Amino acid sequence: MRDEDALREAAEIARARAGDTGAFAALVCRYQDRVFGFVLRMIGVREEAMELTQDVFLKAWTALPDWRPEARLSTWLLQIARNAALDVLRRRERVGFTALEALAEVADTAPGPDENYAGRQRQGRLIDALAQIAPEHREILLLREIEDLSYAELGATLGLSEGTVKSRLARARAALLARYRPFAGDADD
Amino acid sequence: MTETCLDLETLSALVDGALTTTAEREARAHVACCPACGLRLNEMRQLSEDFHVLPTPPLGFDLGARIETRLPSRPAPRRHLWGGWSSLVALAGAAAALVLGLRLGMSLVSDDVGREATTPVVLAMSVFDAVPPGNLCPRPDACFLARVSR
Ligand SMILES: [Zn+2]
Repeated sequence: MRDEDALREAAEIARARAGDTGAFAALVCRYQDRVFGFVLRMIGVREEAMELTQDVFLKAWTALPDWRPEARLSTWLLQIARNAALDVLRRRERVGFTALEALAEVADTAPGPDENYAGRQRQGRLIDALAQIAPEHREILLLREIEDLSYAELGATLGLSEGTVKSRLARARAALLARYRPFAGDADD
Repeated sequence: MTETCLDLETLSALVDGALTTTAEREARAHVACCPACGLRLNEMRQLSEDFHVLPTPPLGFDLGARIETRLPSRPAPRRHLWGGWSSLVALAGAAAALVLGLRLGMSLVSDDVGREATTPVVLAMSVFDAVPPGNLCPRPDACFLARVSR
């Protein structure tokens, strides 16, 4: 983030903390796609992810006075999103919702329109594989590979020591690679 | 190069650039000579690249505008740690009651109260500051009870 963007955001956060809903709306606008993208990849169902994204920002509004500048706002929002997504997954587990049901929807929404066919196939395979691994592996991969969180930020967001971050990331990558071989399937795509 | 093949954690940390300088140098030296580790490392790197080109599906509407009118209003932030003038008075009353209670209690279990009374401890407030109520404290101790020994 450029300095002037950071300053503007700091001012918006200060105003939102003081109760300025317009300033908060500007923050929502900036981060809604990132939160939605993360939540969608975590839970897989578009309608549910849209609702959950809204819940995340409502929670963020309530909790904003507790936010501390030591954490980037984006990381803090992703932490709220992560907890909300895990709640959904736990609820589903109780009612016996399977990963495969979510999978069908995720695959539908995955590829961008301008991707070529082989690229779309490849992305579809990655998203399918991602939906099949454990949520604890999925979340750490999304936060590292897409959100680009550092090991320290991953530790703070997931409540893990940096040593555990390191080993969990390694296991998560191995679990994904067991279902998605990047170099396999290229020939027949 | 190191003799044994790299474990999963080392490979994964190598992809993230999270190894120490020495560990990274050793790992790279091994990978350069070991086709098996080279392949595993390339797979992890490619996995990272595939994640990076994954499109981010947009939410598709302005959520900020949609929820702005539904946000519950926030209580006005408290400017004074103790909630201002009236709290100070209440606090002083509570402290006085506590001191009195303790003294009465002590008098039931001890007959040394009389001797203690020769070195009385009096709690008083710094209520006569030049600062009107509600303002921020001019000094860290100004908003708290001043402990005065006689
Ligand atoms: Zn090797």
